[in-house]
Amino acid sequence: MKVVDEYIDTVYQFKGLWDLPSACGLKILRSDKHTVVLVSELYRENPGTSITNVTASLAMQICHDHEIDPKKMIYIERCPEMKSKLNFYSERNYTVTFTFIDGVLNNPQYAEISLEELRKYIS
Amino acid sequence: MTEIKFKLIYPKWKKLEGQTTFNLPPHGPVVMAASLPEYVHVSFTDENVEDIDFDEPCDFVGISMMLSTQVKRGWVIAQEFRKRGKKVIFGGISTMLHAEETMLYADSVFLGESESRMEEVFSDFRNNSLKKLYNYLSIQPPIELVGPARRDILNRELYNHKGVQMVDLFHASRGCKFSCYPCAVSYLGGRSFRPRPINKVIEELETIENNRLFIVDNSLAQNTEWEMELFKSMIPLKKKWISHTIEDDPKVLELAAKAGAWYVYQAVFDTSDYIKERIKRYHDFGIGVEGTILLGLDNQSEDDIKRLIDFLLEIDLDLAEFTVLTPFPHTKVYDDMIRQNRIFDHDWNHYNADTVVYKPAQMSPERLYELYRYAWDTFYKDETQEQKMFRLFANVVMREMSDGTFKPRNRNLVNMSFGKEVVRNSN
Repeated sequence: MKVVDEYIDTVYQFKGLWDLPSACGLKILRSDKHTVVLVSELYRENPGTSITNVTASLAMQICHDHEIDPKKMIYIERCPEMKSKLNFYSERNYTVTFTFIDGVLNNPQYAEISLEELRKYIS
Repeated sequence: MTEIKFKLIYPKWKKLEGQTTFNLPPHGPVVMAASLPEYVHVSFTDENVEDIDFDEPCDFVGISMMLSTQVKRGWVIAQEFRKRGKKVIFGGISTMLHAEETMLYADSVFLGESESRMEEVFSDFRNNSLKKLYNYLSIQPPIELVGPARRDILNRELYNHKGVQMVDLFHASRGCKFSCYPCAVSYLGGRSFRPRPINKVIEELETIENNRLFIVDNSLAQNTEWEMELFKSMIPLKKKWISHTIEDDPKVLELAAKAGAWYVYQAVFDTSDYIKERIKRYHDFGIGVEGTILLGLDNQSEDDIKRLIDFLLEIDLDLAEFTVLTPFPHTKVYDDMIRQNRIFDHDWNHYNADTVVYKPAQMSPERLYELYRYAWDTFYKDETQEQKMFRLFANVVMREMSDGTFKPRNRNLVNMSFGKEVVRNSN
């Protein structure tokens, strides 16, 4: 099962839980109003922690490395299609909102979005 | 060098109601014990079969945990020892899954595999500089360093039921290249399959007196060449063993049977002809099958579950084990449930695969539990779990008698079951 990479521009290496070397797919779209950060799970190609296990920390790492203002970020977590017969590997997408206190993102809240909504964010 | 007395504890957990309970000799503690420096004297207590003596003289306490249902008990045990001034270190699979919480109850937490790391831990202990965290999750030791496990620390008589010795646990590999929905093994042991060298595996197998084993590897079906070589090398040992999935290839299955495959745990996730034929192929080679059936997946409706149970009765499984989908941390199911805000019970004692802790997609939690009970009751309606187990047991006894490896039960222990006297019905 290989991840479909339609929405992945680069593989981003990040520190997972307990500093475990981890990787995710990353696509960043900047506009005047906001920056859309699309983070994709890589499953078997991710050697470490899942993107959901460290959502807030991962978002902070991306903001830091790519000079993104967290307050102007639209953060989307994506579980890509895995070409599996099992339907729980079908594509699911979520926008994630955080509380932003003392310069740190916390308390991720997930809201599922449709593929059409995803396309609107990245078009 | 002065000896360090190390008390190693394996916490108890509540066994599932209505199911036949067997206490197998634990694997994690004996593997870890093999990596201890020579100056460490280890005394082991498996709380599932004997009580802990909190006042036993010792210098340092280790708590080894495999299941999520052990962690809360592990924390209580740690508090008892710490009250007595002992330092406590935690390790094992469920320590890794629940590390942040466990740190609140520990002097130290060890994450990762213990081979070649224990000298550092015990040296720090001796120098009164024990670290709060030893994090080796991402740096696995060379697989050649693994084993042989220290089975000598086990009190063997406690793992007997009416004189019949339980299987010994054994592993031939670590890590897993698969990324299965409900499983955390790839997080725990890495996402690449790390087979042990065959000569090391055989060397360890030769040290195990018990003829009956449970090869606990997540899946042996990850490297055909190694798997076939392993089975070929095992043939002369005449062991009889249980394992998880074996590769679905007649050449591999034939070798597995010759190497002593007794029965396998095989996931049954749908009612397809493929599954039916897969079970038949095992049986064609004389290998029994215990189906493992996960209930509560998002694609399962009530009708699907009932159809699946009917199907199980048709396909001639030797045994079936039903579990409720459980979102263990560091699994995809956990991530999915967190994102969808579907977990309503975070009590780790309920993460026993017998309790519904999340909102199923197509039914209420209560209805899923009813179907789970219905599955057990229906599958074992005509023949109980014990009766079906006895048939599998009789099968292995016959095979052992024919190849001269059969050992009669220990007559001295016929009135004992896991360290306790058997209460016989006088009627």
